[in-house]
Amino acid sequence: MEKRIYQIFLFVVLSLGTLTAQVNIKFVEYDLPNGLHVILHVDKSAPIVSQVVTYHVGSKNEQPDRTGFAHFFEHLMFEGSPNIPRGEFFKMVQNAGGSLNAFTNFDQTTYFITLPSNQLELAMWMESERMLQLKVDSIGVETQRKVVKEERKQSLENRPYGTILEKTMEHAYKVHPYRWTPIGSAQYIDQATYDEFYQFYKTFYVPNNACLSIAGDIDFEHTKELVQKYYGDIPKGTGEIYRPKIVEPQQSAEVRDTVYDNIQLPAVIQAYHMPAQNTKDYYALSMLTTLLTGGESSRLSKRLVDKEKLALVAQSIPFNLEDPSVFILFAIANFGKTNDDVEAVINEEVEKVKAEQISENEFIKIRNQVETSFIEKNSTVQGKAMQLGNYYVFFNDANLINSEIGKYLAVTKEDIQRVAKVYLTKENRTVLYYLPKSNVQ
Amino acid sequence: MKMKLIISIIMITISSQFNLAQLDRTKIPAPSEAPAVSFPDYDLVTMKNGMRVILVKDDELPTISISFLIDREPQLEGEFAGSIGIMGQLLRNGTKTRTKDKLDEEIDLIGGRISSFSTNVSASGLAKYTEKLFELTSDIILNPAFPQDELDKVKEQAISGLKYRKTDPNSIVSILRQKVLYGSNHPYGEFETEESISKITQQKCFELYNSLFKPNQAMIAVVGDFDKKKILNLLEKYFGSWKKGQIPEPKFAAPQIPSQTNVAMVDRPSSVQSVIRVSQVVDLKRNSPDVMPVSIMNTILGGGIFRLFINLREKHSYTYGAYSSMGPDDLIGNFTASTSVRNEVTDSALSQIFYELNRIRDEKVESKELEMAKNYVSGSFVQSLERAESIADYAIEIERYNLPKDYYKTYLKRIYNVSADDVQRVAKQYLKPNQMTIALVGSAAEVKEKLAKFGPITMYDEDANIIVEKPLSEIKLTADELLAKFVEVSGGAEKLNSVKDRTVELSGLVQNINLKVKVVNKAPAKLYLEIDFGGMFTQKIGYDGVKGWAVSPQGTMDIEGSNLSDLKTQALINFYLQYKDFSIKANIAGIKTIKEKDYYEVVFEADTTNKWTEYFGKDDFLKFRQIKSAESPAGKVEQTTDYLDYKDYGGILYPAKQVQSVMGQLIDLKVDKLEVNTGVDDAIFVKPVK
Repeated sequence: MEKRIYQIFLFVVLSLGTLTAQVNIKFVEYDLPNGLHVILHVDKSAPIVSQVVTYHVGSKNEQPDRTGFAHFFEHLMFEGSPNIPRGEFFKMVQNAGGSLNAFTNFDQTTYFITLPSNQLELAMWMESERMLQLKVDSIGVETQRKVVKEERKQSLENRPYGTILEKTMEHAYKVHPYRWTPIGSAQYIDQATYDEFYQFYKTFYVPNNACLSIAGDIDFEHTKELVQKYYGDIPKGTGEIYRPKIVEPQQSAEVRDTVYDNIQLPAVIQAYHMPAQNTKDYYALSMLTTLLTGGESSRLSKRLVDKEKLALVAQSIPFNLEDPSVFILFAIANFGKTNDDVEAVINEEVEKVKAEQISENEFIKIRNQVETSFIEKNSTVQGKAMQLGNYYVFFNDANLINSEIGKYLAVTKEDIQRVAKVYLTKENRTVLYYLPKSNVQ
Repeated sequence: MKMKLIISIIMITISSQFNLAQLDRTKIPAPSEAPAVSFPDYDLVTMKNGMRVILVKDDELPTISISFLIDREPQLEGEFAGSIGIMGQLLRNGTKTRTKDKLDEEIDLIGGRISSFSTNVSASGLAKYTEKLFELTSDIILNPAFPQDELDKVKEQAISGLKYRKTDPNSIVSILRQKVLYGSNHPYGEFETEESISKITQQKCFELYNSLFKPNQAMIAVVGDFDKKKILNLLEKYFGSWKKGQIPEPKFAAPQIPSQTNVAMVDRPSSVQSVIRVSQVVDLKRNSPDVMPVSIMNTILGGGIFRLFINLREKHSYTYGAYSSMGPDDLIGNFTASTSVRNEVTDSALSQIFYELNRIRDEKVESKELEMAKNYVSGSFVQSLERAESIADYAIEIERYNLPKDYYKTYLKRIYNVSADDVQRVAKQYLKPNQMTIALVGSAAEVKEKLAKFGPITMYDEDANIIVEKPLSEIKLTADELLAKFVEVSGGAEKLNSVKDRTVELSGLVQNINLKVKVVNKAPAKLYLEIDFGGMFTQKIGYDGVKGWAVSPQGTMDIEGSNLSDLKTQALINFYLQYKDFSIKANIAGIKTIKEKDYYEVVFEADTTNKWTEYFGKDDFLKFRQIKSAESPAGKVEQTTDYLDYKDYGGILYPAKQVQSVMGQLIDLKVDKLEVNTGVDDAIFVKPVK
């Protein structure tokens, strides 16, 4: 196996007279013969280590009659192996003074364990056990079925505005699997069978569909030996990995609907189709969200929340995903204000970006804001291990952890105006009004 | 930590050969030599004006953060509840030389962040803009202007925030827990209301600021990539001229512990889960030697993935998570177990929580579990040391509460010293399973009945105000007698019977839309209802004695089923004289105290699908409230109407104001016009033909 050590180029961007702050995260990366990609980063600032495994499978790899399956499976991954009895997985990590968790989103399922650095080998043994030989019994499956349904209730059904993402995606997509969210439907969680779990595990939970990233108080050579010891003998997956090639057709007319919820303050959501995260236009749209709602002086926050007092809060999110995703604008109306009032201002501000190029001063401001948040991202070893894994899995370039800022700073004022014109159009959007249930009578 | 050393030496010998041997996967890898954990040093400098400065240098990232706070005890705010919070929020909204717009611009221009609340201000940004960040932060702390327009806006937002709070079961339960546990005469049990917020003035903000903001009570922590000398110069430059002074010492009584476990419940009919807190106050000061044993005991009970989580989630699958917390507090600490469970297992989940509370008191913890808890707590501590901000937080805690200087340097040793006996002793001493307060937000119809076994139940409204229920023995009359009294005080049967038709016009504002409502009744039971939504569209509903119908922009439809039954009862022109003739049953269900006044609670039943509740004043017999649930496209919706401000309309009393509340949304309606016996044409009650 060949190892490549990245030479980190001093990425110097002359930013308006001041030097852009440097991020210089050194790492080593290589592939095991079974296809597992490995990234190691040394950070000795505290005697801890974080191990992250990113599987390239999320809710978009599910079938429409099994929504929520990937997330359900994530719960089962804590059930154990022939060497780790049911109920022991959590305990072993806690007993070692560590913490662990996992999350599932549209594109990925990620597991992380952080512990004192002398316990790294334990983390590797545990994570490799469930990659090699996950063991799930019927008690485990039935328990987690109920737990996942409670999770759905707690985070969606019993929470005001909890269904916003679900409703937005359901309206914005017609054919692409982004039309359902990772939590999925309780009905399909009930229907999932053991055979399906086995097939899912054999297909997606294979080393050639995963990236192992380790950051913290480690020694490169010793860690590489341990990686070989625990992950080296896991067989490569032989099945075909299902990656949907479904292309969402261009939207041709505005979609508009009303959702009644247990809320008091109305909310408005606009979602515009936008390109995938790995594109130039994504960066321009991301800068555009900073212009609209980044900081209190941003255009929408200033008008909606501060000046005209129409909204309690206003946010815009470039929802970055592997496939083309949505640019979301969201605002909760103040008491006594209507969604129509709020949406009118949002539309005006969007039109303004299209009509006039932004000023030099505003441009400098959003560049500085983007720079600060980029740098602040990497303050913990767990955060760094996760970022490295993400950049590798979705961009095939772990070094973006250092260099991605350059992609943001390459965006011009013209780009921002152009992407607003191209993507933020009426026929390209879904608009949802959230209203209190009292309004349905 | 020491014991592991021996194992790890053996491990090193084995690990040097592992490439040759076949991996034995049945063996759990032992840890290698425990790394040295050292609590980093920080600098503490006291400035001439008494401001204490904590400096934690961390040059890993080119960033800097500043946290400022006033070292003070919480205080009661009484009629101005929420004022310190709002005063603090306004610090960031304008100084003597910078408007809010200007501050927003200057902060965003350097990509920084500054926020303020209560007597805390925090700022962060890139190290290259350190001086600018200091300049802005000190201006915000030292020269606030509390601009009137900003005050108005923040008050308005706070009131909107209260509306949101009423819909979120997690917010409701935390307020409920605190109000019941501490009482509203304790700072931890005091919450702002629309009324208290509206009382806050600019002058009040200045008064609070002037009494609380003194450098000798202030602490500032600076963390990040900096040069110590430079920071001290900046502090001198931007805070050096701030003058010393005294701040008030607040006084209030300690909260009482209940003599038995009790249930405090808020009914939220739409809930699909019960949000539960089981809680008690705990007298545990920060410098008590019991702090560490209590922390280990709580960890075993409900920290991370321990007993509560394993029992309620992994064993019984009642919930997505269950935890507990218990910490020292120099005023008064608390123990709280928290979870959210589906309605049907609410009582079982509570039983399991109490089972675990008793178990940790009654049984000595096994050494394996104790070891795990100790490792977990030390591991969390070691992990927290990664962030320089937590070092600053620990340093602030040491300085603020006069803890020994080596408090965190000896932290791991103190964990190591906790024994199984210590755990049981503190569990017995501090946990009182028979004196807990169960705060719960959920569907009363589905869960309330099963809660009685845990203790007396008290119902609260969404603002955690008590809804008192009086014993049935206080009821001295039947429902029929009570309703006859209502008829009597309204003007008498004869007078009411003389009304052959009645037209009432009402108006109100809902979400900036002018609502106009016209209600026409004709004897014995005809109804016509017209609702105009700001001239945008009109909805008409009618009942001609046989058929019910509705006309809306979507078209004309017939009203059937439970909605028709409801319409029939609304059509009765003098309901309280007619209900018996229409075989509607009425029963008194109890006496309730709402906002300090007693009311009879009467349950009406027209048929199995049409039941509702009304409240009549115990002393004046006037109808005060009606609670009905209606079918809607979004499911069952509960609707509350309050009848206020009774006025004499030609010898008959009628409420001049009606306040409707549906899922917390308020609709205020005022009577503009009331006419009787105008000879209403029968035609309007009949379904229009297209």
